Amino acid sequence: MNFYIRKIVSFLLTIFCVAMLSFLMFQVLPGDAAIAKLGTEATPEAIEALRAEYGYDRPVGERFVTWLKGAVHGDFGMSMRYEGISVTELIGSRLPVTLSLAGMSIVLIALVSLPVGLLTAARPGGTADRVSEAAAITFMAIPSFVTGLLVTLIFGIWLKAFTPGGYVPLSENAGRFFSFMIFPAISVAIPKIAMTVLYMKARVKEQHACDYIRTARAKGNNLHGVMWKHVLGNSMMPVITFIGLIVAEVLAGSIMIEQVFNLPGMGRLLVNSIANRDFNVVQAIVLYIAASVLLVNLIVDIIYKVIDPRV
Amino acid sequence: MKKLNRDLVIGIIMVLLVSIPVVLSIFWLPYNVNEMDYGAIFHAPSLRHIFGTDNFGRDIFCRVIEGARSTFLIALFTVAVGAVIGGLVGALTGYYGGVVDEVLMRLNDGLASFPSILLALVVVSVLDKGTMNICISLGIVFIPSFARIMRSEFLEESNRDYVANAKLMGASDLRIIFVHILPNTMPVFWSSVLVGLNNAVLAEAGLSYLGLGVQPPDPSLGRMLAEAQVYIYGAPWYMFFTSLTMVTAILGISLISGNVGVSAINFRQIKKKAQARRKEELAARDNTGEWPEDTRLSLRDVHVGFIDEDGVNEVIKGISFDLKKGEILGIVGESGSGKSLTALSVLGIASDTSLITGGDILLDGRSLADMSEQDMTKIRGGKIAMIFQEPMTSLNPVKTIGWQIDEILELHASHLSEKEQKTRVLDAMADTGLEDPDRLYGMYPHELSGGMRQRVMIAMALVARAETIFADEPTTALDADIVDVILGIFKKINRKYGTSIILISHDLEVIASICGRALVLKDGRIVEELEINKSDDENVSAQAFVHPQSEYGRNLLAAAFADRSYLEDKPDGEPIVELKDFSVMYRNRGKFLFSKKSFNTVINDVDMTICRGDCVGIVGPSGCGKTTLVKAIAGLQQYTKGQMKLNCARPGMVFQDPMSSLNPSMTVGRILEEPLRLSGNTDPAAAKELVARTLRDVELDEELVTRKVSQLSGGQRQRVSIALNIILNHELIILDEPVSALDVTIREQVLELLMRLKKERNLTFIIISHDRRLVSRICNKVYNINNGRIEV
Repeated sequence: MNFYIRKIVSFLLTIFCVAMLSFLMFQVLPGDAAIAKLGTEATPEAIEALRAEYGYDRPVGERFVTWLKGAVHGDFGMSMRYEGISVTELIGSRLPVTLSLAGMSIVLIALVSLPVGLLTAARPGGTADRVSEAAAITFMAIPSFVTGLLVTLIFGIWLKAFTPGGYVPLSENAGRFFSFMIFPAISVAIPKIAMTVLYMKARVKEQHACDYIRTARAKGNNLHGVMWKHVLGNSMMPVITFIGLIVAEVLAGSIMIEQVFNLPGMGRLLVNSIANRDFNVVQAIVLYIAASVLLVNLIVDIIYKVIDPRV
Repeated sequence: MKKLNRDLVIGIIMVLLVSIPVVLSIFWLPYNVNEMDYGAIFHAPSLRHIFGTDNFGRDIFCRVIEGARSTFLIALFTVAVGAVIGGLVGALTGYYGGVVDEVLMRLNDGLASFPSILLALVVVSVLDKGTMNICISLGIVFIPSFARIMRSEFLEESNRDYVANAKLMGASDLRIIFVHILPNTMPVFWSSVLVGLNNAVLAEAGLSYLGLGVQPPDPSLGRMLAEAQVYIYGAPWYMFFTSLTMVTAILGISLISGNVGVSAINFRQIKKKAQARRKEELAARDNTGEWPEDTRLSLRDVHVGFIDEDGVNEVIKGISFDLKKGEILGIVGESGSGKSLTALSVLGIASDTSLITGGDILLDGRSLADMSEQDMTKIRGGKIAMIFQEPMTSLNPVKTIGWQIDEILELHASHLSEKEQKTRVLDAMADTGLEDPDRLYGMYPHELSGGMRQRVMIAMALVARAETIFADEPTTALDADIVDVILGIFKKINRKYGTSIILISHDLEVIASICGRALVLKDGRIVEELEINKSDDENVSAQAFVHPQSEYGRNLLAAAFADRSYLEDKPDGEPIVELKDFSVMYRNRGKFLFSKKSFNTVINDVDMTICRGDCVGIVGPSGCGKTTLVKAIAGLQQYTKGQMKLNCARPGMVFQDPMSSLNPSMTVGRILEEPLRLSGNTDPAAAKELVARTLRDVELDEELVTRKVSQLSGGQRQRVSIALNIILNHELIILDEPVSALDVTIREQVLELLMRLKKERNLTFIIISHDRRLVSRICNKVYNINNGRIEV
C-alpha cells in the first residue's frame, strides 16, 4: 500500500484510540461533574436534573458517539465550570498562546541546538565538546519550572526586560505580545535544547565511528568536508525524528511554564480544569495536544521519506 | 585500583550530599518540619536556621530534607512500579512477539506521543490529587518506557544463537527468559533505572508544583518551590536552597548514569607525550640515507599502539618494509595481527585511540607520520587510495554512487570540468566491470548487490589514478567468480599505470595469484617474507611460495593448503534423518495489525536422506537458505511443510560464531552444567566430574570452568561449543560453518578434534560451509543448495 495513505490511516486510527481512551477514562470516575458543580449538599433530584441536562443518564457508547460527532465538528460540549461558555470557545481563546509558545520554543531549539550540537561534536574530546556536554547535563538537571523562575529572576527582576506576570494579547499588540512570550519560550526551550544538543552530539559521534566516514577521510576530505558532506546528512535523520518527539516535551514544558509566567494558555486551563473537575475541557485539551503531537510526527515521517533514499 | 571517571566521582558526591542528611533525618531532625513559629517568620540563613525560615517560621533546611525524602520515596516507588511491570511486559512481548506484542507496541507508540506529564495529569485528575495517587499515576506513566527498552533488549537477545542453544537443550521458555536472557539485559536495565529515577524526581516536582501532588502542610521539593516563588522578592533564600537541593540531586544522578563504565583517560596528554618521545628517538637516529629511486613507500620500524587504562598498549611492534614502484605486495596474517591497522596508520585514519609510538613512514622521501592534517588530505585519495573490506558500511548510505566516486575528483582533480569528471567516473566504473554505469551513477548503495558495491569501492580507488592503492580484504565478501575478475582489474591497472598495490588478505590463494612477495604478520611483527613464484598455473598450491623460513610461515602454509582427507570407506548406516518434499518458510510481518498471514518460502521441496555415521556437507552461496534448512532439522523453525523423519533424539548444533552461541553472562562451567540440570541430572559432584571430563575430551584445560566466554580465545570458545554438544551424547550434530570464524592455523586443530570425536563416538555430522575445499576433504555426501532448492 502507498506509504502516505498508510501513514495517514494509522494517524487517524491512533487519534481515534486517544479520543476513545480520553473519553472513557472520565467515565469511571466516582464523583461526576454534577456533584462537583452543585456541591455535596445538593438534593438528589437537582443532581439528576443536571445529569440529564449534560446527558449523563444515557449509555456510555451512545454518549461517546455523540461526543465524537461533535468533536469532529469542533464541538466539545459546554464547560461545566464556566456557565454558558462552550469548551471550544474556552480553548479557542487559549490556543494561540500555547501554540505560539510551543512554536517559538521549537524554533529556538532548532536554531540553537543544531549548530551547537554539530560544531561541538566535530572534535570529540576537545574543549568545546566537553564544555557543551557539561552545560547540557547541568541544564537538563534543572526542571523547566525552575528554569522559568530563574529567567524571571534574571530578566524580569534584575534586568527588567519584562514585567513578571504581565501579558498582552496577540490581537492587541503583536510586538509586545512577542516581547512577553519570548522569555517563557526561552524557559521552555532551555532544557530541551540541552536534550537535543546531547542527542545530536551522540548521533554525530556515532556517525564519526562509521566505516563510511573512514572512507570519506581516506578520500582526502578535511574535517569540514567530512562534517558537512557526510556526517550532517546522515545524522539529520535521527535528529529530525528526535525533534518530532521533542514536540511532545515542549507542549509538556508549556503546561508548566504557563503556570510560572501566569500566561492564559491551555496549560493553565488544563490544570485549573483538573482542579475543578471540569472534564469536558480536560478531554478536549487532551485530544488537542495528542492530535498536534501526532500530526507533527506524521509530518516528520513524511519529511523522512522525502530525504532518506532508503525508506 | 582502577582510576574512576571524574564526572562519576562528582556525581556520587552530589548524591551523597543530599542523601546522607535524608537518611539521617529518618532518625533525627533539629526541628519539627510542620511546626510553625510566628516569632521566626522569614529569618535569613543563620547558624540557627542554616537555610533560613519560611512564611510560617518553619526551618527550611528541615523541610528541604524532609521534602527531598518524600520526593525520593515517590521516585523510587514509581520507578520500581514502572521497572517491574514495564520490564516484565517488555520481556514477555519481546520474547514471544506475535499479536500481543503488536497490540502492546501500538499502544506504547500512542502513549509515547503523549507528553508524559500530561498523561500523569490525566491520571491524577481521574484519581484525584494526593501522594499515593501521584505514585500510581507516575508509575503508570513509567511503564511504557521500561517496556519499550526491555522489549528491544529481549528481541535482540532472543535472536542470538545462545537462545537457540538453550532451546535445543530443552529449556522451557520461562527458564530461557529468566535464567538465560535476563542476566544479559541487566546493564541496560540498570542504566534505564537511573535515567528513570531522574525523570521521576523531575516529574514529581512538577506535579507537586502544580499543586496536584504532595498536599500542604507536608513538604515536597516541588511544593516548596511553588511557595517560594511567591516570596521570591522577600525571601530569595527559600527559592535558592530549595532549587539547589533539587538540582544537586538530579545532576548527581544524571552524572552517575551517564558515566558508569566511562574511562578516565586523558587522550591528548598521552598522545602529546608519545609524539614527543617518538621524535626524540628519530632525531637520535641517522637519517641521512638517500631515498632510493625505485621506492614508493617505506615503513621504518613503525610502532602503533592503542591508548587504554594502563597507558599505551602496543599492537604493532616494529614493522619495516619498502614498497617498490609498480609492485604488488601482499600482507597476510590472522585476524588481530595488525594488517589493517598498518594500512590505516600509514594514512593517518586509524581510530582516535590509536597512535604511532615509534619509527617513521616515508612516502617519496617525505614523512607521513609528521605531516600536518592539511597536507595529509592531499595524500589521502590523491597519492594513496584505499579500498575497504566492508563495502556495505564503507559507502555513505544517503549519497548516490556517482556522487561518491566523483567526490575524489572534486578533492584531487578539481581542474577537470564537470563533464570531464563525469566521463572519468563512468570510465572508472566500466573499468571495474560494472555494467551500465550511466544507470548506476544515480543509484544509492542499498540498491546494489555486495559484489557491485565492492566494485564501486574499487572504482573510487581508480578514478583519481593514485600511484598507490591499499586494498584491505577486497575480495573476502565475494563469490569465487567475481574474485577472479577483481584480481584481474588489479593486475590490469598495475600493468597499465604502474600503480603500486598493497593487498591485505588472509587468503593465501588470492595473495599467490597476483603478488610478487608477501609479508607474514603475527602479533604486530613481520615474521616472514614469502617469495612467490610467478606461474601461469590455474591451481595455486603451497608450491607457489618459495620455502618459508619461519616455523609460523610453514604452519600457515600447511594450514592454508591442508589436504589431509578424512574420508573413509564404510558401509552406509541406517537413515537418521529423512526429508521428503520438505519446505521451510518465514511468516511475513503484516503491515497492519491482523493483516492476512503470508509466508515467504525459503526452502522448497527438499528431499534428503542422511545415514548414521555420515558426514554430510551442505554448500551454497550466502542467502541460499542453508542455515534455515539445518535449523529446521534441529526443530528451531516454526513453519515447515512436508515430511521430516528424525531417527534419533534432538540433534545438537554448533554455531558459526561461538561468541554469540554461548551465553556471555555465564561461566564455562555453568554453560556446560546447564544441559545436565535440564536433563534432571542433579548430583553436583557428578556433574562437575562430567564437565571436567568433557573439557579434557575437547582438549581444554579444566581450569577454564571459572572463566566467562569473553575471556576465551576463538578456538577455545568453539571447543566449548563442541563440548556442549558431546556432553549430552547427541548422535546427530549440526555444524554451521564450525571453523570459518577461526584463524587458519587453529582451523585445522579444531577440524581434527571434530573428526576424532566423530570417529570415537560414531557421530553423524551435517556441516554447512562455503569452503568447498574443506567439504571435499571431510564429507562423504554433499548437497548444493541454491535459491532454496537442491541442485544436482
